[in-house]
Amino acid sequence: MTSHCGELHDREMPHAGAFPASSDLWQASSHPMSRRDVAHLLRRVAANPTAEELDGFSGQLPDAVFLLLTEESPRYHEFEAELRPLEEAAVRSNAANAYRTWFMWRLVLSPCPLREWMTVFWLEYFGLGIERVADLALFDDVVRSMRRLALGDYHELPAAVLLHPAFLLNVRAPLNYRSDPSEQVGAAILRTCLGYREQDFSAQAGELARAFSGRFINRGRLRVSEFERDTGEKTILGRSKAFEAEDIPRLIAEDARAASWTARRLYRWFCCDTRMPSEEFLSPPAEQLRQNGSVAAAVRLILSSQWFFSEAVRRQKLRRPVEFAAALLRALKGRITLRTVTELTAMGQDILQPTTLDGWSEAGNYFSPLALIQRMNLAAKLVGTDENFGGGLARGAVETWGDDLPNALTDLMTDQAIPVEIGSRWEDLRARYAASSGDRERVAAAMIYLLAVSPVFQTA
Amino acid sequence: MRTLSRRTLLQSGLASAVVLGGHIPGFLRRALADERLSPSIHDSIVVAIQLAGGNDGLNTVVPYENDIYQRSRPTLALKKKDVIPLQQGVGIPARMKGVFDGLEQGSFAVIHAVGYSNPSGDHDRAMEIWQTAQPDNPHPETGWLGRAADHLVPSPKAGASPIPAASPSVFISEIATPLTVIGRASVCVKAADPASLTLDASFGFPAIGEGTSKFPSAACESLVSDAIAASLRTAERVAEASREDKPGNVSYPSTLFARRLEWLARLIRAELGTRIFCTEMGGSGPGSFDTHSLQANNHGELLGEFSDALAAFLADLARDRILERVIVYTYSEFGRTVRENGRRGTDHGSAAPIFLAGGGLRQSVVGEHPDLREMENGGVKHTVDFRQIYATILERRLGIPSQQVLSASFEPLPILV
Repeated sequence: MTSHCGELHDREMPHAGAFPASSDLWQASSHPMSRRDVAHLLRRVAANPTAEELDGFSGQLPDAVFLLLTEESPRYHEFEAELRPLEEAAVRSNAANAYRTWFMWRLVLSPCPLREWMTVFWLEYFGLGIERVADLALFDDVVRSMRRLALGDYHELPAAVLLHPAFLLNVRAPLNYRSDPSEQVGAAILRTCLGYREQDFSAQAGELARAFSGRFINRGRLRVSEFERDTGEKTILGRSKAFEAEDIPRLIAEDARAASWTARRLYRWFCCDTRMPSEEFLSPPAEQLRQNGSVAAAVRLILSSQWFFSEAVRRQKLRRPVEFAAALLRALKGRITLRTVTELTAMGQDILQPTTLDGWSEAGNYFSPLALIQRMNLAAKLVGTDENFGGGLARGAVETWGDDLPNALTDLMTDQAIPVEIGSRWEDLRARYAASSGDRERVAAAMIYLLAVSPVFQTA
Repeated sequence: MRTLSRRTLLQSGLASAVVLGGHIPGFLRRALADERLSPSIHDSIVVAIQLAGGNDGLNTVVPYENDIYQRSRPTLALKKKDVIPLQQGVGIPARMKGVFDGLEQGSFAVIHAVGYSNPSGDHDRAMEIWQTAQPDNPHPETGWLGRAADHLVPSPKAGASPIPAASPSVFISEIATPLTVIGRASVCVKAADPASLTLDASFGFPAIGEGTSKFPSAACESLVSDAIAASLRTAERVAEASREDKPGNVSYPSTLFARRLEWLARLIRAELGTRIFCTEMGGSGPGSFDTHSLQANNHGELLGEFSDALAAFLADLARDRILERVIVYTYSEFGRTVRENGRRGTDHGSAAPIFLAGGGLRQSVVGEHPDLREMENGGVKHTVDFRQIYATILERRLGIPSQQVLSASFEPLPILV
């Protein structure tokens, strides 16, 4: 079972060892986490750790931290209530950029970051794009469902998305006549939920499209025409019956290939941008999805595993522009602004618009020379005093950490316990910071910039 | 039509006579260009210019002696005195003098009546068709140059670095990146303000070879370290190419479009390995070429602005002897109706001429001006499929088999050396 899976390439890295054969590595790690472990985990689930998380989670077992990260605490509900007016105002005024900014706020500030980033995962998984849906209210509605189910029932999630009007708009199939079913509906399902490549579609795209006949989107609402429903037998994923749209999410959730594909995507999301293990290696998380029907169980298995904390998985993620900015702003409690979000879009990653149904481009493609110049310039703007980019990042850091700022920065922005050679300029800035009084903010900004543009901060 | 084949030229014995004479007229130089090697398919550069709104082809390449044209446009038709003759009875507006000089020098060409079957009159859909070259795909996700860029980035195979050595494409404008340059794998760098592509040194520069954790699992960090080094070299080249105190610098008009082209020239001059550039004039949405009312002055101004900026761009590239490697093409969602409407404007039509500019052009005028008696959607019928031009650019300049990008076979046109 290899050919159906889509293009998650294995780019073997220099010096990379072979994947171990044993799936024992999926056993939960029984070691209390060091600060370095906490930083590794938080880089993968929240873009970057905060100082509080580094302090609070050190010494705990990964599994216990997973529960804390997914807990919908009173603080999370307060946070939700606090941000809701912004969300509603953006939707009411159909202000997509304001909505993007609000979404980034959630990524950076949420007390339940894993849920937020899993929402981004599902957004990419289904290839849902704000411009493609072109109806902010509908887009918001489906994003809410994805957030609610982001770590929930694997069987319920496809239903929440595939039966939502936004899905049909996303694939430009608002009108699904029995006599002319929209094959792009079937093609999108095969690509996004099952990882099929186009050459492997065979007749299935048409059969899936028939199941969606009779569904029309009119002024943002789903209308089902009984007359236009194709009630004939269809053969989908090897099963034949008079399937209708409502049956499709269940067929997908029960399909072993879908679970395997989802496990691969979760592995790519959390573990490694560069290498993909075999499907056999990934069968434990895939089984969690298919048999237990639980996204949380699969994610928990990955994030608590001995494999996840092994050196083979560390530092194997390249930060795409959104992750880069979120990491910096989360570490140093910076402000997200519209201009920052616009810059990220210019760098090729619109947070609410995966480039194609297959998602955003592979992370390495965001590191071309000109893209990196833009990234360095964004770092300079974020650490500078320009209010359009939040301003005050360095000032806030100086106020928070005072004399201890250099240590706090290396703690938050590099790889703890591993000697990171930042170089003589860092030492020079450190000395200037210790000696300075008036231009401390300026020196702090230079220190943050130097770390932000260093290789170690571009990876996770 | 003033074209001459190389064979005819050589047979006539004119070639040696002209060369010996020292002065080579543009049309002969183009014919002689066949003698040269084609610009290398390994370093040629494509520049796409989007003219949003639906440029009026009939007032761009003007059949000023045509009765139907004159009768159909009582207030908009240009007269002989308003144009520079190009072919018998056909000319370009006098305001486009800048590119006419390019035409004389063999660096500018007009292709008549470009379009496709069953053209769309809807702005969004028509633009999407031109951007993607997929008129039969109701759900296109990538543009034709984006797919071309996908071919130019390293293939995802074991052992290959996941980081491209050069940025595969660049788009310069404030509007959203057009589908034209959106690829499945390649990431187009967009610069609303082109200056954002120069490195901001407010806080110093990244430290080369430092800031890695020196740990066996840090292979990604070493890749990034190399990428940062490459980006700093790129920044140096951009800075050098942007120096404004060089002798012989070309003066650009002070328009936004000209500024974008000036930056494109700088980036091309910097030899960054980027093969695909895109910019636009007319903005987003319906765009300023959507001249439904009071067209005469507006359209003339737009063409003048376009022409002056493009002429400066071509001169700039020629000064650095890189024009030969560059091919510029323009596109717009449709032409406009032959008949003027009641608001002294024109409505959405169908086919229209497009422009090519750069090096290695074989002809200055390709095809015949369309017959105004044969209309489609109120506009002129196409005689050249736009995908033939794309196929030509893909094969003759980017070295990519066109079928892989266009998903169908289109006969390239014999327009590029």
